[in-house]
Amino acid sequence: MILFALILWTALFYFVLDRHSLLETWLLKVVISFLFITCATTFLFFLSLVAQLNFNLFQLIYSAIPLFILLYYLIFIRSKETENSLPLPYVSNRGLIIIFSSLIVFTILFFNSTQRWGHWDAWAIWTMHAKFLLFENDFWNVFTNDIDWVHPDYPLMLPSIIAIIWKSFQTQSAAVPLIIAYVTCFLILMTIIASFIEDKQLKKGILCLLLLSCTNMLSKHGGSQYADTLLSLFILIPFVLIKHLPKEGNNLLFFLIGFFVASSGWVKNEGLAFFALFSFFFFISSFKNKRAIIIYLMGCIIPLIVIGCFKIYIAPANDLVSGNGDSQTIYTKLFDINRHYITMKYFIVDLIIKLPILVFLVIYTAIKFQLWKTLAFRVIAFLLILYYFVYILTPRDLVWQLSCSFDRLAHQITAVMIYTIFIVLESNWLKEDKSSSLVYKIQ
Amino acid sequence: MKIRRNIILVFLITLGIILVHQTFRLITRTTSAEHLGELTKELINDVDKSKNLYFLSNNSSTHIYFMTQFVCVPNTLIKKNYEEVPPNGLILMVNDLSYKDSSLTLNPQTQQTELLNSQTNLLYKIDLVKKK
Repeated sequence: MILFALILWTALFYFVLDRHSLLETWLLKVVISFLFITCATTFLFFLSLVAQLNFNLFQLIYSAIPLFILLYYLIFIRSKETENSLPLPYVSNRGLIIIFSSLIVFTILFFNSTQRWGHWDAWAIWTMHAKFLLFENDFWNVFTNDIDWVHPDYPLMLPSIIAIIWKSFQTQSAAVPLIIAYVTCFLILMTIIASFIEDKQLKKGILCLLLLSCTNMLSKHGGSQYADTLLSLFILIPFVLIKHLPKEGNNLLFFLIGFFVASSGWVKNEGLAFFALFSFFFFISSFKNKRAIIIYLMGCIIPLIVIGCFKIYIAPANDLVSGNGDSQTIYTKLFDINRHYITMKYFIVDLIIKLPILVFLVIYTAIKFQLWKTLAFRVIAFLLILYYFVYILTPRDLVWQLSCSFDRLAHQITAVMIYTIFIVLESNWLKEDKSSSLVYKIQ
Repeated sequence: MKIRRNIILVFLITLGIILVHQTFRLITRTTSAEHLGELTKELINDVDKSKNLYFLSNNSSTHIYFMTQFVCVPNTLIKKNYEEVPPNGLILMVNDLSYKDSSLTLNPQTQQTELLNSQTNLLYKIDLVKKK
């Protein structure tokens, strides 16, 4: 029933987005609607758990409301149909074959890199949390430092999505986290291609899609079933929305940017750092546009309330905050040259070895196309600096921490960096040629 | 338009086949989670869900401990030495049968425990005991 409700709500929000934003591409609107609804569902599910609301009742109410609104809205839309006749984007047959082939290749790569219950942290943290969330009266058991290795302070978006579907189908099948991981990767690819279609840059979009889907950039970590891929999607979406903001602004898009940026803190703790940095740069760039800032903040409110309630009243303190018995002071660590050397080595060598194409493209576009002037580059650069100092101050063994998590951090920013690189990339070869069969056409 | 429809159809069928085949291939594989799960399901069925359990094993790897916690949800499983387990504490003694170097023995502490239930399969033997 919950999937039915998700589809209904997505359809409903699609109509809202269609009506109140200037986005043209249906694919982009579907992706954003689906993601918005999924995210909102996890908030409601968590609140229903805290309020000890029966899940069947939750499902019933959650499905009934959009059904009635949608019926009303469809009638309303039909009456306005003639007024709204924007042309639909069109991709040629050859373009379609390339896009579909790359998605098939990605699917094969994804399933080759995954396994039942995912990699270690997938079952030991994310799916484990989801299992706890299945028990309305006993899910509190997870929020204890007795089993601190399950990281009870980690936010609950991915576990909530898994638990909602498990509960709805009354199963605990390993297929659910697997399919969720696949859909998350798929949504990243769809968001990127849809954004380039919206921007009438199909060649760039296809190249970007080929790079992400036919290499192991996305599939390797996507197949792990960790929450990092979901965070990668939540980091990507706000920049995609900003890219399609009209000059005069758009209230709904500002609201959605705020919502997605703040919601990234509900995916992983790193998302809170992203939220802080993105907001800082957003305020700087829009300080003259008070309306944009107010609507952005309105979008942030609900996610921040849920995250705040979770962090303040439910989750135990994060090991970085609590210190986890570490005796070295912050001052000592900050001025420990060896820690800087090890971390720096990881940041440079690991990135070059594991993501050579990304590093090359970043350097190339930074020199030739002033990549650093983009909002995405600035936010991600400062995010990396922040991560760097988190490593310097970590209470855990530094080498172990770096070896366990650095490639995941790189994975979180890969999609958005590749997307931004292709946005700024310009060459004669990539210019859209109207005679080309790959051209974006307006019917 | 017909070509376009065929392209979409071929894509959807191919993707569907891959998804169904690969998902089925993966979920029919059994991991230690399934082997441990079939035993603990019987063992802790009647245990109060809010109660902490204690974990002892002949295999010191964290993998088996984490996996046992994974299948024992919503009970929490705390890894402690036998001496640290409080009286009346419930202990899951997981004997990894594929781990041949040592076997889990609670001697001489076995005198101080009460065996509540025991389950065995090809890979594991798990006892639920209560410390007196």
